[in-house]
Amino acid sequence: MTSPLLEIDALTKAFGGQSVLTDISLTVAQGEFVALLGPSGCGKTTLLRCIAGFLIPESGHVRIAGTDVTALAPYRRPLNTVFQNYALFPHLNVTDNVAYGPRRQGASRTEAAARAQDALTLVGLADFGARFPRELSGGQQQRVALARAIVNKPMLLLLDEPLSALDLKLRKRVQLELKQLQEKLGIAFVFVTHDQEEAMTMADRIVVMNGGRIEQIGRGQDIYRAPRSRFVADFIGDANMLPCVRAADGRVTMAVGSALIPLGGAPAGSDLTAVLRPEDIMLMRERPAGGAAAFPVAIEKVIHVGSDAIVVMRCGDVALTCRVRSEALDDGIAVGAQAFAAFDPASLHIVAG
Amino acid sequence: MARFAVRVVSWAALFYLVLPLAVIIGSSLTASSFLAFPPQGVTLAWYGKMLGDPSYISAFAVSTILATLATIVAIGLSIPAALAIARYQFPGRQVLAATLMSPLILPHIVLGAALLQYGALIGLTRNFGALLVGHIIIVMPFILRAVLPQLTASQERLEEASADLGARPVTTFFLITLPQIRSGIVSGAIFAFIGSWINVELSIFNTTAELNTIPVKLFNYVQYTIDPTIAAVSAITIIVAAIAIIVLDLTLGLDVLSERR
Amino acid sequence: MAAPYRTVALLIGGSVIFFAAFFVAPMTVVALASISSKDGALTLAQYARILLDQYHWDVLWVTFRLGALTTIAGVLIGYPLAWYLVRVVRWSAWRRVCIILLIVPLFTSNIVRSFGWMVLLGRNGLVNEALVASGLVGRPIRFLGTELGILIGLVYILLPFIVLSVGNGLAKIDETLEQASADLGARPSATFWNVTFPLSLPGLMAGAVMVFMLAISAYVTPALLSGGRITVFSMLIFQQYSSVFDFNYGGALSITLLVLSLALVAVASRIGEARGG
Repeated sequence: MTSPLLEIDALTKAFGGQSVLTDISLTVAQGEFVALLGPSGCGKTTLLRCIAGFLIPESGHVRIAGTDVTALAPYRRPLNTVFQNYALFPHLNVTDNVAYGPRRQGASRTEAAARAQDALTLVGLADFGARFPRELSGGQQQRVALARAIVNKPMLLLLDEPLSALDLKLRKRVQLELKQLQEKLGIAFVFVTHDQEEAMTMADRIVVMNGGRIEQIGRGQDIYRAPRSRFVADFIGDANMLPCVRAADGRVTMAVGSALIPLGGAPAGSDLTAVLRPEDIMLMRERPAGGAAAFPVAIEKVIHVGSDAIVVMRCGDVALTCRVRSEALDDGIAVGAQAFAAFDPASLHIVAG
Repeated sequence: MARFAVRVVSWAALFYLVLPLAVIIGSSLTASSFLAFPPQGVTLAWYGKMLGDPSYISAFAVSTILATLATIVAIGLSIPAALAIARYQFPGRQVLAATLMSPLILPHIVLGAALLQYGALIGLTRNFGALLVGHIIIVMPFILRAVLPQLTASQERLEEASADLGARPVTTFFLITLPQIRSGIVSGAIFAFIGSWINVELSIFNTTAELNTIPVKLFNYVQYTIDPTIAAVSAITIIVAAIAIIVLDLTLGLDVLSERR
Repeated sequence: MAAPYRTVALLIGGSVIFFAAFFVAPMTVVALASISSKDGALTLAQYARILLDQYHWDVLWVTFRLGALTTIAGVLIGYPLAWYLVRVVRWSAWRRVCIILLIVPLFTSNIVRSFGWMVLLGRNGLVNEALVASGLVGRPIRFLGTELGILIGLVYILLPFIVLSVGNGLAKIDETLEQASADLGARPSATFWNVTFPLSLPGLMAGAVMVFMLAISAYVTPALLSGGRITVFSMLIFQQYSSVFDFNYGGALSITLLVLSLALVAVASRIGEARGG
């Protein structure tokens, strides 16, 4: 069995007695694109800095290609980083910025410049070598930072929210370009972001972090469909959180308004929540016949977003939203109307908490 | 090891910075009739002798009043100028800023000579007024330098908000602008006061036996005799400097070199 | 913003009038005097007298040599000290003490500081006693009345300017730039010479220019530590205005010092800009 490219084993890190990373274990395979996803302060950037070598963990290990690098200085590690603010050297022009890495590895001036030119061509900035960072747009700076980080052909590239400074439209485009580049180079990417859509778009696997711990690791769709905790369900995509109760006989029922819906496949524990995705709800004017679950709701608001409509409704003291195609919305479903929210019980996912 | 070399040079440099001041304070306490360091015995007699000499008391008074007035007038002239430079575009703005700052690098001896020659033409020599105008000129840059960086664009937004809420410009200045630049004014004022308090090169042209500042009196004295009274007077000025710095540190914080972290 | 000229005029009126009356006018008087003869006729005789006389060149040479040496010594001592304060000291209370030690001399008159060195550098002063006692020298070295003595005094007085200027520059350097350098494989020394040092150059140049200007125009320190044996340019100016009363010649001396020092500053800041990017 070949060892994974990056192996993080039971890593912990604290600042001034305050624990910021607790028992982090994670592996990244050769050529894999992994996103570290979580709200600000969840420890994702700290984890990235431990991998890069700017922070030394209190305990645990970081191995790259089987070699323990936990306490190794950053300049000895076979990886490169794209920094959040790009960290382009303001006193060097674009070519010299990109040639910086090869020069430090002992390449001659001309050879380093040639390699820099290749990397710049790869990111579509072949003609920008003589410019200085301050003369470039945000998107161009981001690509120079990328070229600078890949020019040394590292085994692993770390990216610390590299797109957060770009506007939405540009960000969408760069996400696709970055993914293509990663596939073309075959370098493993570890990508920090707080934007779940960004993680979903690009990553092979997503590591969801919260409060210094890993909540869940998996493919985007798997995490969306089967979140392991209330936090993950809430953080990844939109979710209706419906309280459940466990009866004395161990059976779980979902209590929404006056409706009680029996459920199976619940985890252990007495505090349970059912996750119902907005797109899994169908709105009907009449209670559906047969086995489909449904409860009566009062429509409070209808918001049209592009071709979709988001309907905000209420059943007793529980607020719910659902998302449907605008044209699928029945004429009778309007603010103030009574309707039924129907769903397939199989689309429910039950989490602890 | 480069790190070790940095430490050694730094400690040596700090020692070098402290040494002369320590020597002055130490030798002002000597019981001998001549200047000695380390002091031979400890006495405050030289301080007593200084306090008994009216010419020293008068020089301290002149220096203090001069520095205070120069600072106050300089603030009165500088704050409006700083506002104009920071908030408005007008022809000659750069020239005005450069001119107001230039006494900072201009040789003071040249400025002092110029004021003497010019003063002789308009009848403003060897009196308090002559000293005052020169000191105002040289301390204004300290105020400007401290206040200008605080008149930022984000603060201008606050002023616009104040105007938007119906405040007249003068009200906005006193309620919004002034509180924001107060720390700049305080630190600028302390630097200005000290800049005036320690000046020799400018004052020396306009002082007389009766109207003398402390540093000029010391300068004239030190060139001919050195005795422990001089050390006592010098020690007093060091203590004034230390008090000014502690006031600065306590009010504004002097940790100027740690923006990192 | 379109300039409301009335407001601007009100704001700058006081300082403009004051500076015109007590700064621009006096400097103009000096400049005019420097190109006039005693009876008021226009002449360049004063400048000819300065520039054609070997003695003035000797004094200028001493003055600028002292200025250059002071600047170089100040940079060599001040840069490591600034580095120490910003990058090495981790205990903020100690940094605070160091900064106070740095600023106390700045807030003390040149007289007092030079006086301290007069005591220290004397024939029987502490420095000579320590040197003799340590066996480094056989008999006391002469400091007072030598360029070395003046240099020690000038470096002492101007060192805080370099340290504060370099320190501010170092503190402003974005930490992630150095991390990026390490990330790209640069050893700490390579990071220093390729990233940190070039980025600290503007602060270093600003401090160095300031020190050079103050060193060549210093009067008190050289006057006290020269013991009358060495003459610097500012002493020539002072003599003309305080005892000889030749305002025409004195004016020419003043303008010469001013022009030479401003020219050097212009050259230095041009170099600083080019290098600092």
